[in-house]
Amino acid sequence: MAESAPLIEVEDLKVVFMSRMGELEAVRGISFRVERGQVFGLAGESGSGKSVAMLAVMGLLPPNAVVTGSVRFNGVELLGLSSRELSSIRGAQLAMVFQDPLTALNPVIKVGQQVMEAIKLHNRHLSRREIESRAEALFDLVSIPQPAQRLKQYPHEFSGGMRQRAMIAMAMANDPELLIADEPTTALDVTVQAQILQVLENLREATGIGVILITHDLGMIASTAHTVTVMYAGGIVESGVVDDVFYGSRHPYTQGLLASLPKIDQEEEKLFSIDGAPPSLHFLPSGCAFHPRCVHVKRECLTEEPVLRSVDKVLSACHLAESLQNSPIIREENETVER
Amino acid sequence: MRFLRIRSLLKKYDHLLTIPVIIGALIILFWVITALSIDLWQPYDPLEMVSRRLQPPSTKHLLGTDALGRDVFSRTLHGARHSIPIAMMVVISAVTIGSLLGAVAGYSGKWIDGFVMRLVDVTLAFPPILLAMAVAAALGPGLRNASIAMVVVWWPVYARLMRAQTLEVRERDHVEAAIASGVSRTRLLFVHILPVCWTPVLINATMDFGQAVLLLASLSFIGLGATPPTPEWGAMISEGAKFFYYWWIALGPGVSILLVVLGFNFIGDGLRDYFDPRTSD
Amino acid sequence: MLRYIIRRLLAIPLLVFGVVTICFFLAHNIKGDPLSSLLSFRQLGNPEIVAATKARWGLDKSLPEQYFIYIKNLLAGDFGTSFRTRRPVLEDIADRLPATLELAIVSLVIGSLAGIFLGMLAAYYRNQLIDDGARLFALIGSSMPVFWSGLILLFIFSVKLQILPGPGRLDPVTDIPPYVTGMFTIDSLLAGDIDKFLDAVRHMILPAFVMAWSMMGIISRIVRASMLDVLNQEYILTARSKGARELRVIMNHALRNVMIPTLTIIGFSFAYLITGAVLVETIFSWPGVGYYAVSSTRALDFPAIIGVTIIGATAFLVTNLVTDISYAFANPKIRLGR
Repeated sequence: MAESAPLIEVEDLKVVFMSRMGELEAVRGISFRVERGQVFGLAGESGSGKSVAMLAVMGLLPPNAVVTGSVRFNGVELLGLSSRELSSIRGAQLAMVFQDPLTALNPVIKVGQQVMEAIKLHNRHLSRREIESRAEALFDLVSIPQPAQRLKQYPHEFSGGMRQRAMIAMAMANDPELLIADEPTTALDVTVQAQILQVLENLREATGIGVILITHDLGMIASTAHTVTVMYAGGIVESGVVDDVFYGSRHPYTQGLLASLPKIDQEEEKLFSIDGAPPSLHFLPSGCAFHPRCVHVKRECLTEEPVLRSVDKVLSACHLAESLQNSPIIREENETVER
Repeated sequence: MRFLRIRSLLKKYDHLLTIPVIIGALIILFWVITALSIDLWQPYDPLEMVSRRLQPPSTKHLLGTDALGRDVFSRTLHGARHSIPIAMMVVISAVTIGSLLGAVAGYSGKWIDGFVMRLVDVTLAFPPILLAMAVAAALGPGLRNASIAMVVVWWPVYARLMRAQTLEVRERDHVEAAIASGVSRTRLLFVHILPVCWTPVLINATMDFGQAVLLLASLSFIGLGATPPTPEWGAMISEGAKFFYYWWIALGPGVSILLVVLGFNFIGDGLRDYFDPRTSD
Repeated sequence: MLRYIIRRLLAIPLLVFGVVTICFFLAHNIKGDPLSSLLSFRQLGNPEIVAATKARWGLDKSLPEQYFIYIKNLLAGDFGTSFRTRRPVLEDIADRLPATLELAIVSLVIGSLAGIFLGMLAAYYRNQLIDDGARLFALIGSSMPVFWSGLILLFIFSVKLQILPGPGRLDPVTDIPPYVTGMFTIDSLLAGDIDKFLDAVRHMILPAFVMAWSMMGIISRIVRASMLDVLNQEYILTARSKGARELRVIMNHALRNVMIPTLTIIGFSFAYLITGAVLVETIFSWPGVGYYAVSSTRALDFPAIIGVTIIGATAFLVTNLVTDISYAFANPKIRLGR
């Protein structure tokens, strides 16, 4: 089923929020593509703009957001579509799963009804019985036991993991080609996280669906994604195939993130973390947005904004990308990053 | 120099002084000034027959004359003298009595609390207007009795409000600290608890000033409250209802009530948005 | 949940008891001489009536005994006799109740629907002109004396423009439809008399609108605030991401969550209805309990005033209870005992 046309192709996507206090650039020109059947990891801390970018792709931003650039899904340009046209794509070919299933589900409507609504919106011709059986099948797909009973319950009667599985079932209702999962496990227990990821993996194998996985957890990306794009302060700093980026990162931010992953056999008592905090989007640093926190900072980093370019096997937006060969953030004893 | 001070003061209250609030404040200011100064500049004596009866509005009588030949415009402006001070007095009394009882109930607990709250519940069981009517009727007509009736109707709301506030504030650190240092109960109440709770009371009271004007007018309209020839707005509208075709008689007082209530509502809304930005936009 | 209902139900008789006690004092004692509050001036001159009244209410006895007799009479349905109509107060009220209910129900429906609509409109177009306009309209409605707006609208529409009828429930020359419920709209429909039905409806337009307008202020404010809160919730985003269009998002997802506080407010708006009933019925010569209350007050007909007050308070308590229970039912979290 390999087609050369990408499932989704984003070019120079920019999102600016207009408010009484001025303009806020949340996404500052990002470009990427996702192929069919692939898992695309979008990594970054909160405030990096990853969620906003995806909401822009779905057309779900509030009216005070100005979105420019190009988003081509299956060859169709999404930006600029009428709301009617967008509504027919959303929930059908393009679906999204949100972070906290407790707030993402309507508390006063039964879960079954919400799932059936997803089906009904794009299949008006189906009878109620048919929709109900489809809903039950969806619950089976995501391994929710006793689907018939569960459909009649309210969200607060589900456990956290089950709620998220219901959300995934809802998103899968119409066999979408692309599923955007925004921090799907962040609100859940660690043990449940693994279950959810397994569900996603099973779905992918069964349906060949493409997934955009948004998360700040690099471990999750390492185990599930094919390609990864790292965002910082509204821009892409590094992107490439997962192994290439993780073992051969060419950007100090990514290296810092990788270094801060706790390892079971590490000897240090203190966990590494990058100094400082992500900048407020109101007051972006000049030049490279990461320079105030970067260990390798040079003069040009303060004045020129780096461009995303090909360095070795990855794309990196760093002036010093070439010289960063496997160079970890310096810790105590020049130890290299473990594989 | 003073100009700059005023500027910085205005800036500090920038969020409070929105357009509706300014309009509301101007309206109330107008009526307060009118009420205070009307004697000096009234076109005619509001109680005297000055022209032929039931004349439509003209240059001589801006709102015409009523059934007894009195100038409606003067009477309307004079109405402010009765409605506004009485309404404010009623609300302030209700706030004072209610707040004290509520605070004492909230603070003392058990016996006193139970008693006061039962009283509150029973009073609030009456639909406000019926209670006001019943009390005012029992006491007899007149503005004084109507005022008493209104205070009886209004105090429970503030008792409940204050009690809820007191219960919450009671747990706060500075109160516990004061208790620990052996402060007397009265001092505790007046110095530590009450000053903290005033914001919701202020907001409620401001809106209630308008409601009190409405209730007073309603009582006068029914025949309790203002007695003739007092130019109270509600009573004037009642007269206007009798002389229905002479529309100018009821127009002035009605518009006045509307403006005053709107004014207080605007200010109250503005205060609410200022003190609790969550409820605003 | 059941315990909650029972607790509230038990509170009602106690409160009614308190209401009655207060009314007793108002009726019998404030004037000093209870006779003057039970009998009209003229009746006081008639020794037979005076004697009968003393016997019925036990006025020669001690105060506590008077109180018990009072309660006993009330429980038997004896609320006293109105001076003006010479009939038992309870009968007077029962006769006039359908008219009040008819108007009240229609006003409630119009006021609620309009209030909800205005509130949703204001929330959706927040901070734009529509928001300000809707809020101002609702606010003006709540700031106007309801007896004045009725008067002005009557003048404009009935006298000047002549497109709506004058005061009263029907045209003066028409007969009342055959009695089934006492509500002219229903009764005329049941009798198949369309003309009369339309006449009754036309007569209700102005008074119902005036009463509804006075309620819109508080309802639209709550709806707007609730709607703003709801529209920010994530499940609204989920609904949109499923492909639901705006109208569906609002009606199926947002509205259900907004309804919970809204229904509560509507229930508690009963106070506005009663106030409205008293004043609006007077302006429109609507022969309901409110008009009765006002005429009684003007004539200082105490049995009637007190009777209406007791009944009104009881109705008020019951509606508040119903509202509380409905709220508990409507919120699935409470209902299922989370």
